[in-house]
Amino acid sequence: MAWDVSRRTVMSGGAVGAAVVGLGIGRSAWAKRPIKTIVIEEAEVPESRLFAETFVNSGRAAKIIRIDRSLNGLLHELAIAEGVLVGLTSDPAAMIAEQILVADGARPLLQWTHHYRKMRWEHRTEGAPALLARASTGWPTVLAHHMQDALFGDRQTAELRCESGHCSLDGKSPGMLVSWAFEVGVQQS
Amino acid sequence: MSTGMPQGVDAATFSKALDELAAIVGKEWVFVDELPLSAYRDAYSPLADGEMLPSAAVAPANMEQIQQALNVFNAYKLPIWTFGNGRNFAYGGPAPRQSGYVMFDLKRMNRILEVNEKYGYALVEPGVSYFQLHRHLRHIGSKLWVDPAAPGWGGVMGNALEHGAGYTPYGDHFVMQCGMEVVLADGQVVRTGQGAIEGSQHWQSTKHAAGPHFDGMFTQSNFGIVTKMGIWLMPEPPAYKPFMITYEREGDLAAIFDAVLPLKVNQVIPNAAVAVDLLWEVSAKTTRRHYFDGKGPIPDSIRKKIASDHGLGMWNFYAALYGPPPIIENNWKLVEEAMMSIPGAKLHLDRENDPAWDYRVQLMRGEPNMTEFSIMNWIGGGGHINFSPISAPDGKEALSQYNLIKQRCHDFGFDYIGEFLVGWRDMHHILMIMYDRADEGMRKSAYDLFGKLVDEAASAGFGEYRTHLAFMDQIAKTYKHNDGALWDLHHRLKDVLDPNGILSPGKQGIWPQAMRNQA
Repeated sequence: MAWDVSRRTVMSGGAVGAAVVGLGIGRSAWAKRPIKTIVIEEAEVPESRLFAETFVNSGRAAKIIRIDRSLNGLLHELAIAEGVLVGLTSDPAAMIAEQILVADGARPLLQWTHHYRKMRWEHRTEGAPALLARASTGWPTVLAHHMQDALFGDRQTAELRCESGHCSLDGKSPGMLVSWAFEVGVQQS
Repeated sequence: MSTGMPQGVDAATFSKALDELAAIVGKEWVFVDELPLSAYRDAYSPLADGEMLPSAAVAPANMEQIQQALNVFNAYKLPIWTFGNGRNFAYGGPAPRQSGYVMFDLKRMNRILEVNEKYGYALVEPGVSYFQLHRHLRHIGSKLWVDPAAPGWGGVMGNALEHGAGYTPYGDHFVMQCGMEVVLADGQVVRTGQGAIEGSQHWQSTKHAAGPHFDGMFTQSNFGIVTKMGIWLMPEPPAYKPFMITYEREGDLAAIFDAVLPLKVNQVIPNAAVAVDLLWEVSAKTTRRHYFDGKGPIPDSIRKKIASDHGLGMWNFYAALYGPPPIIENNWKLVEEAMMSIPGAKLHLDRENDPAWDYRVQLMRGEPNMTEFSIMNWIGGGGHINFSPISAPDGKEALSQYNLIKQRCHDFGFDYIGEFLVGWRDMHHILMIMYDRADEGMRKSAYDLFGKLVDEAASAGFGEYRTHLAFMDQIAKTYKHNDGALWDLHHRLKDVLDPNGILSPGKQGIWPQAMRNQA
């Protein structure tokens, strides 16, 4: 049995996204396979609702899992989910989802952050900075389309940061959001 | 030192040890790759990236596998870090005390071995969560409650072993624990209390037995691996009356505790009552950026606006009464007379569309939930560590602690976000230092603030009841009566019980002989 412990890459810790870095999951790995997409909607968060709605309207969502503000649903629903799980959620919800999914063997596919500061949204993503920057409060719709491209089409891997123009923050928005995708229970090629 | 290998162990030796461990637990239960090991990080760590990372993880399924694995760990002198099920966030998460340890993950051992409806207890393994036990009790039609920690995904055993708290009358989990099965470092299995009597039916009913009481020695320690634990469960009361009282001024804290002490000591208020500060309370409903986008602590004028907008006080006192309705009615008169005597107090028996009220009412009746994590939205970026001094529930002392700690928070640019939880004779003060974990400067300030608070609290005569991994050594050194005699005792026990120093080295500042000088 070979453990290859001297050659492996041991993660560098830190924020939720650390596990995503360097996985190099691209189009060739699985984009050609039909994979069920499950969207996590955090019902109290307006941006999350808009993001989920866009996935539904584009015909990509096989199922929506709605999480109320107790966040309990993350524990009950994610454990039985299978396919590609995507969400635009508050940071705590993203953290809980990551903990549960990684412990169950899921593979992180992407993780981007969206932070409202000084009257602007700052997006840290891979690709599409101009589109997001121009989108202002409608950015979750743009993000949903961009994420579909990244997951199922051409993916740009360069990390990018962009800022929107001045815009207001919805009173129900936490103002710090994470968009994420995990692959659960799908045999890797 | 390599972060990928246990200290002093080369790759070939480590690989050989992993082979032997895989032969015991199965290869699929030995983890060495980045992704599965990421589950053992402290997601909210105040430390720089790359610290406190495990070298591998091993997940045994039963007692026999634990004993066999211990043989391997002893043979290779591999340091292990035991982990049950809970996350322990704010105190270091599941992460090991030092990089390179092997995680000994017991979450496969998640059986609820017994529920005794008559005597009100459960016997559980390390992997059982509050949600799991709660669902099981409802499934079997039990009328017993669990007492969950605020995040319901926590482990029943792990939280009790860490002296965690809940919010029902059974909120002191260390007190409510009864009877343990423990595997010592050499593989010997010990049952505590009545569990040592062959065929005893009272292992989980009474703590009393002949000889010394050892259970406490296996909590917040590294003297053994607890594999079974009894936990007392509260019978569902005939009635339940939760309430919240808001107080207008920060200085009301002293009067609150002077009023609540006789109610607690005489068990008029039987549950773990809690006084929550404005920002902790409001953070389940809104975020800081909706009110203040500047650096440093929120100005008083804005705090007043927040309180007014959300119908809150500078302190928000939660508690509940339990029992037959006539008793509740009688006790309520005493509570109302004492707690409403403070000028400006406002009573709330229900609050519409208030997630903070909803989750606390659930917790006080033993319903696990995850809502408290939503308060991490306050700053954004979710980082937090809890500074937790403990003392007697005295009004003057509470106010003195509050003023000292709040001032230090402000000195370091943080808001005070805290709560005081009152047990029978104790007061847990929980300061949540929140920071954006992507902001290195803020993370470092949080770390520096914590270290300063430890020393200042000790100078004022306060010790912490629980702490983050990174501060275990510092806090251990504050227990310095008679030249640190208590930790000397811990170390003498450690050397006898675990001579190879394999069990969770450094846990709570207790180090094996070979590693003691580096601590």
